[in-house]
Amino acid sequence: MYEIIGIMIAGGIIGYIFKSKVKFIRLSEKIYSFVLFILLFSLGLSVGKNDTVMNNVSSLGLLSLAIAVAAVAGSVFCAWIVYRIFFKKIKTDK
Amino acid sequence: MKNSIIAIIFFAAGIACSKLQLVPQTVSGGDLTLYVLCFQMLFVGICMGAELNKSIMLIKSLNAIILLAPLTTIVGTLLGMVLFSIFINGMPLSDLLATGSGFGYYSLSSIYITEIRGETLGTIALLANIAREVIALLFTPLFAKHFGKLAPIAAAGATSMDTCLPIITSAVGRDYAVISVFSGVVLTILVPFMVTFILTIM
Repeated sequence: MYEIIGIMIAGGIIGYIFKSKVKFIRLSEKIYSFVLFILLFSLGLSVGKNDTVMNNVSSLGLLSLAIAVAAVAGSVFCAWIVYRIFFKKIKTDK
Repeated sequence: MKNSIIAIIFFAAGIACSKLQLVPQTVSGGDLTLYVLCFQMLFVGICMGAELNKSIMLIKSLNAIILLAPLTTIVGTLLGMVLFSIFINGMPLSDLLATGSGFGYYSLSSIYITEIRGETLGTIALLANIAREVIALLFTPLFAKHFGKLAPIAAAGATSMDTCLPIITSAVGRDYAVISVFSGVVLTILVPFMVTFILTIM
């Protein structure tokens, strides 16, 4: 998977060099969102062939929801503490 | 919200095509995903590279305290996952931490996780991170009211820079928009690194 991160960094350099080519950057953004949906479609293809996933759809869904709730609860709890200690007293207006 | 619905539709269409055998067996191989992913990452890089100067300017104009925003989200999410692992059997902590490290960036995190760990955890990551985005969208006003202005930003994770930004600014005020965007950008960049790191090291 580290090769992929390497490719991303290579893309970053290309993007930095050609940042003034507005059309090219807009096109890249469009390709990016389109390919994202192709990837999710292809993820669906592999999932459809995977019987373990297909036979446990409802329990996986419930588990996923529980994970999301735990992640959000942890984040909100920490944010509450950090906000009270560090953010409340500072004014963020520029 | 619209994008997560489109995402689910594409994902479901993939499952349907696979079940109905509308696509030849050779196309549905995992290799295809990997090649498309490489292609995709090139464009992710290009978009980020083009915004680099803007990002650096944003960071320079801010107090160092802003770093606490993404850090809080990371610590909080991982803490939530550790506590959750106590109550759930049969799921390794590394899998939970990797799923949590999607920070709501469901597309990329689920594809990375599928490549490294397989379809089961990939599907969990997709659903859990979409659920995170939806929860953040729905409960932002509640979080802001009871847990302070940073809470909606932390709940939204990587989506605080785009999908959740309008609702966050309307709940906590425009002066927190910069913090929200900054936190989302940092987390979005970290997702592939954290997911790969957690699943290969742990």
